[in-house]
Amino acid sequence: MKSFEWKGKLKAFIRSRGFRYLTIGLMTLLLFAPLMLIPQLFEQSDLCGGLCMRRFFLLFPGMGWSDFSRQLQMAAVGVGLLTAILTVTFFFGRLWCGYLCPMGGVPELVSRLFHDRWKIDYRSLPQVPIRYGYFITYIVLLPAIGFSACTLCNFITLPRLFEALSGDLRGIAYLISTIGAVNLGLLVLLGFFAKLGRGYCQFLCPIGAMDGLVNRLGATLPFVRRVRVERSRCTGCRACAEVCICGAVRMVDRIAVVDQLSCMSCRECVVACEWGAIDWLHMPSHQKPKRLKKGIELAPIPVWTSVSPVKAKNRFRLSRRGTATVAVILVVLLAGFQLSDAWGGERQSDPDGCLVCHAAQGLAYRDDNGMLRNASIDSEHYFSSLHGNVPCRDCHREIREYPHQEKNGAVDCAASCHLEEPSQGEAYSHQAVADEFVESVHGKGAVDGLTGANRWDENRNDRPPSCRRCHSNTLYIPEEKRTLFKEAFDHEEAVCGNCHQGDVWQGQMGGHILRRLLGARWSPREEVAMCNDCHKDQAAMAKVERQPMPDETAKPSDAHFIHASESFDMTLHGRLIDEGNPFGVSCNGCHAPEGFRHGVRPTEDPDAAVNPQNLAKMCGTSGCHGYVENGLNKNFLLTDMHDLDWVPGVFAHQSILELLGDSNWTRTLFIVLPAAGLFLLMSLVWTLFMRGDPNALPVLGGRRFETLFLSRKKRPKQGAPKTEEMVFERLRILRSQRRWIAKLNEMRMHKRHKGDSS
Amino acid sequence: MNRIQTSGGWLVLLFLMTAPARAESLYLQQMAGARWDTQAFEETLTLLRQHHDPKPQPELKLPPFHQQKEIRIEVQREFCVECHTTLPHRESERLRSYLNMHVNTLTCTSCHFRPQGVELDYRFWTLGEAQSPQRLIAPYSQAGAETFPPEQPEIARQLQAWKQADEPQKVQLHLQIHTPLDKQGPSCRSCHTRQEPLLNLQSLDYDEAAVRKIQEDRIARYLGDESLEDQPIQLIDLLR
Repeated sequence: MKSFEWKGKLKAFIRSRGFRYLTIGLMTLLLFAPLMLIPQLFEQSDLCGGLCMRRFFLLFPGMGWSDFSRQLQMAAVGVGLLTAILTVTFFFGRLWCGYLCPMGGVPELVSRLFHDRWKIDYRSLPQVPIRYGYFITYIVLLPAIGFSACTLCNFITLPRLFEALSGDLRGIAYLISTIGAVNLGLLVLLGFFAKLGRGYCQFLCPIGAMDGLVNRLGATLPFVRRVRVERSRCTGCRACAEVCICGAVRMVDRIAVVDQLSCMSCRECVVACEWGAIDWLHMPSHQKPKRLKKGIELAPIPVWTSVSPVKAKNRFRLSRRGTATVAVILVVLLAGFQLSDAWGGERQSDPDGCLVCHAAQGLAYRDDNGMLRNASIDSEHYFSSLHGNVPCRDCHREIREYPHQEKNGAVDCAASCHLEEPSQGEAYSHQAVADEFVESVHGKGAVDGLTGANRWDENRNDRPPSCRRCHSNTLYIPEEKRTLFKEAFDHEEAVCGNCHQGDVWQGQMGGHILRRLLGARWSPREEVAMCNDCHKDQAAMAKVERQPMPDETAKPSDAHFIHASESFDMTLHGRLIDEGNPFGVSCNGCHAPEGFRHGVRPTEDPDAAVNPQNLAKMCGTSGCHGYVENGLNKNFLLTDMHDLDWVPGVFAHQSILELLGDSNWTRTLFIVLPAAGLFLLMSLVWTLFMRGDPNALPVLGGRRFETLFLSRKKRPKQGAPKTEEMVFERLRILRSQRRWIAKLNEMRMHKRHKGDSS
Repeated sequence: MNRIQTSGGWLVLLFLMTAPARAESLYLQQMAGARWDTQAFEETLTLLRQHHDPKPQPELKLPPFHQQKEIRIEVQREFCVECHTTLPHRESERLRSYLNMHVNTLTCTSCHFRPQGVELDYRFWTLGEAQSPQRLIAPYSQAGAETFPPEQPEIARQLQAWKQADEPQKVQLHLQIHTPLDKQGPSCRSCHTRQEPLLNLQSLDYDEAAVRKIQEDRIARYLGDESLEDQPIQLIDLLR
């Protein structure tokens, strides 16, 4: 008996508003700082990049299917989440919007804290045309005019707000940037000081717009439940329309009507209705074909349906066969790793015998600078490395005797060695790479004369980077690609080798070229890490003198340059890299997209990839934004990939005027900020001191909502609307209607009777 | 002053000789009984004034090009490393790296503490954590291992005194610590030889292959050849 009571209470709680707020609160904890449990699952610090649910469906002019599929793949998790949300919505209503989404939920909760007087009631605005008008603009027009989807996005603003509140500099920097401030202003005006706090959801949220459409579509199915009105029970008391958080319920002829395009399935109305007239119902049966009885159309009386108890779902459990399969796969993988390890450790010769000493453990001393000079070469690693079959003396040319003279060991990276270049049979050399490098912004870095001792000098921050600053003698096939390489190599031998026989094929195609094909080169993430190794050091970057063009004098580095690494981290490119998404774009992806990728040139150089003249071509390389060369996308290229506004801690280098900049965003700010400030101030005053009138209407839109949605001429002065009176009124009308129907039937019967007789 | 100290040291030595049950280690006895003349004092003073061991630097941001074998410099935990660092040999360009290789297998005193007329026994000395013990070859006298971690009470006292000492006191301490020791150490060929090597490697659990490898090491043969001392070694010679 007791358990029954307990279950009843639980059910009542689940149906109540408290439960909804609880789930919103939980989701806030899960999605936002400081915990960010869900983003962290995907190794992310916000809801952008791979988790973004609102960018992948943007249509840029001239976009092809490949571009679209790229967008889909890039935000794979977001696509999955949105699909899940829409599927759930189709069958079970907008649970995400009403119960889970903290981007809409948090403003609603905050809005509850304030008195209704100084709020804006958006609910009576024609939300469907506004929402879908903006939705189409968002998808088609904004990309075309080069307006980033991220600029008006609550999925950034709210997470950043929580970051700022938990003391994260990134959040603070975002909120005081121009775009951040405009977004915050909108959040305040459309959220915190909107009546019931759902203004953004009603008008601007693209996910909400899609969800609404799917909700409407699902409502056409007879077996699907939605919030619906039992017309015969509705007393016209307006309680549901008044509490509806998104203005989906409207009084039409004194009966509540639910707009399924806008309804968020939050069930506030269900709680408010004292008569059970509005509930989570199947499609009303009177919309089904009416039945004829003796020539008269009769709508069957709707049957009352209550919400069915939620059945516990089966937990996910691996079957015995599944466990066995997983085990077998693991064993095979493990064996693969073992085999590949054994295979990778192949030995090469050491013709000069250097390793007689240098393979010994512990061959080291400290030089006069106190630097550890370790001469013990890891020979296993060396033989498996990129230079594994290059004899030591091909690089350390002059060393013939011991003790070695420092200068004799100096390495020239551009020198040719005794290896044969596979395609042309010439001596192999990095000369072409060195040429490209020397022409680049880093061209002052050393290519030759590299010794162990002058590492000390080069390690200083103000030294230009030499080859070895970025490159070391890494493994020929990186550890993580060995299995892949071995599979491809076996395939070559077994399949391609049937026709392409001979050692040359095996050695050159099978080994060397295959390695290049498999992408043993650096991942974008590694590239960025490499650039960051220097460019993240702001103190060092501040000292760099840049020479934009050969004929110009060097200019000191500006904030743009000093914070280039940080500002890049804030872009979508940078964030994708950060989360390990393969669609992230590295520094080289834009600055040196072609060639050997050493040709980073100053922006002012007409040959530079990032020169404004070359931007469209550059963005379209590597199959990235192929559509950008379409003339309509001109503004797309204006996106600042090193926007200082969003960089934390940049303010030391800028004046406030510089920070604000001269943009339309700033001008918007001058309107939005005072308005938001006014509402904040007045709401606080009303909340604190003027609580007297509980029935005060919102200062904007309140009257309109009363007349349009509630069909109320004048609001009753005191207390709640007298529902009993309304019920009696309603019953009177119904009774009179019934009387009319009876009279009509009587007349018809009379007619038929008459006809029969005649 | 010196005389009082030294006589005190002799007294201690006498006392210890009469009471073998409380034998103090040989090095500590010799340290307490160290004697020196004015010339040694002056030389040490100059040495202390001129000599500067480079401060060990942390690893550079610019990585070495080739992957190197890890140097297990944490192995050495004798008090000597407090001043001489874990890679103590720096002076001979020819030998320093090779000598430093020995810090992984020998304690400092194995080579540098060779008292006249005393037969020391060489055994493994275990130090470090119980989970990953490090075994180094160390000299043993009747009193135990002649090898001293900085926690050893007498050594700790000396180290503390060093920190607070002024210049003349430092010279004294320096002399006291170093007089019993042999700066040069034995030559390469005294161990890396088949004929009467200093260390009996067989008794130290080395198998025959390892012993042969150490004793017939060709690099040591060249480096230890006194007739070649001033000539650069041709790499090709090593391969022969």
